[in-house]
Amino acid sequence: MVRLYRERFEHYGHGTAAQAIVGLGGQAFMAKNSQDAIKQFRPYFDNAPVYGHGPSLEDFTAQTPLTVGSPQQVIDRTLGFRDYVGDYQRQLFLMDHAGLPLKTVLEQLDLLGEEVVPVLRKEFAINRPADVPDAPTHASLVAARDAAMPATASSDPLAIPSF
Amino acid sequence: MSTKRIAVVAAGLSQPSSTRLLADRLAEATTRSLAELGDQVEVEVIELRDLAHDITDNLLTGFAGPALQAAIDSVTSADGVIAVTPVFTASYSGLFKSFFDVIDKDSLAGTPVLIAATAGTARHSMVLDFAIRPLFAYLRAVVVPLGVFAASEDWGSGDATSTTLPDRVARAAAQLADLVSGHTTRRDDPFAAVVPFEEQLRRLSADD
Repeated sequence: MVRLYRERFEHYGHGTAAQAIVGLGGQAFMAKNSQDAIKQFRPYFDNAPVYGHGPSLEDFTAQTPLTVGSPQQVIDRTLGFRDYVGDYQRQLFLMDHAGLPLKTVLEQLDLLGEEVVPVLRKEFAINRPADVPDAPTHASLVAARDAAMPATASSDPLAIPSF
Repeated sequence: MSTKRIAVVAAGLSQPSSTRLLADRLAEATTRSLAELGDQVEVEVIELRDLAHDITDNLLTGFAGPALQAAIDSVTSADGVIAVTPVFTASYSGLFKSFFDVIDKDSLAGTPVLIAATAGTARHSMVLDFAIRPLFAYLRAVVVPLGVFAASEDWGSGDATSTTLPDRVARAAAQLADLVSGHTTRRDDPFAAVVPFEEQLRRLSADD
């Protein structure tokens, strides 16, 4: 599907296929020790509305982006997503699914923010081709609009950019 | 002289299974008929019992695991399909239906299909025409005119007033072979044949 999007992106002249803007979703549940992560997550997985009573946790993590294990395993698996879709711009992590209690979700966010995201940011940047764009943000789009019409650049943040 | 692939979908649950036995008989007869027409045949049998959990998981998650995906690919790319179900509750079995619920609805279009069913008695022999044939008609498969129903009593020999099971098996298989011999299934990659947007717009505005 991403390949089709990239091919049509290039077909319509928006850039090369490698330059298409792509974001991925991933789900993660972590503990320092990967066996603990699986042990803690399994009761929630087995009984959750979407996951429960279907494929086993093992089958589901093998066949989807869900990663249950140590932070290092989440890092390694996420870095591998580029092999499927090419260099991409956004990685979304779903952290509060399956009925996890608030305290657990906050702990997961701590692990994600302290141990996973800094490493991913560093590793994704290594060997990233220079012509692959960054994700478009509001700030970058406004800056691009202002750069495109320097003489009449308005400081009105609500002005609609015209390209 | 070409090689034709026949996929056999058998929904029997017991071991041994009369559903599987009928499926094997139909596959053998189809192979013989195709050989007479000059074709070589590869037969792959898919036992739905082995995929029962995977099929249910597919219903729950929306995607097929590797084993089920391989079976689906085998069936949808086959040049001909033999589909056999036991009669449960006066219709095809839930497992049989669930398998055809999880394949893509366009994936059997144009494929020659031979339908068959088994049961303890002949009471529900119309299941072929009231339930199974319409299912495959919706899928736009090409269902051979003769469906084969085998009640327990049919596994002996016939009598003066009815044709024997082996005779029906041979005739239905010959019909399937005739269709398969002139047909090769080609499933285009749906992502490869993209209709250009300008063409899609043009088709919308064309009135004639």
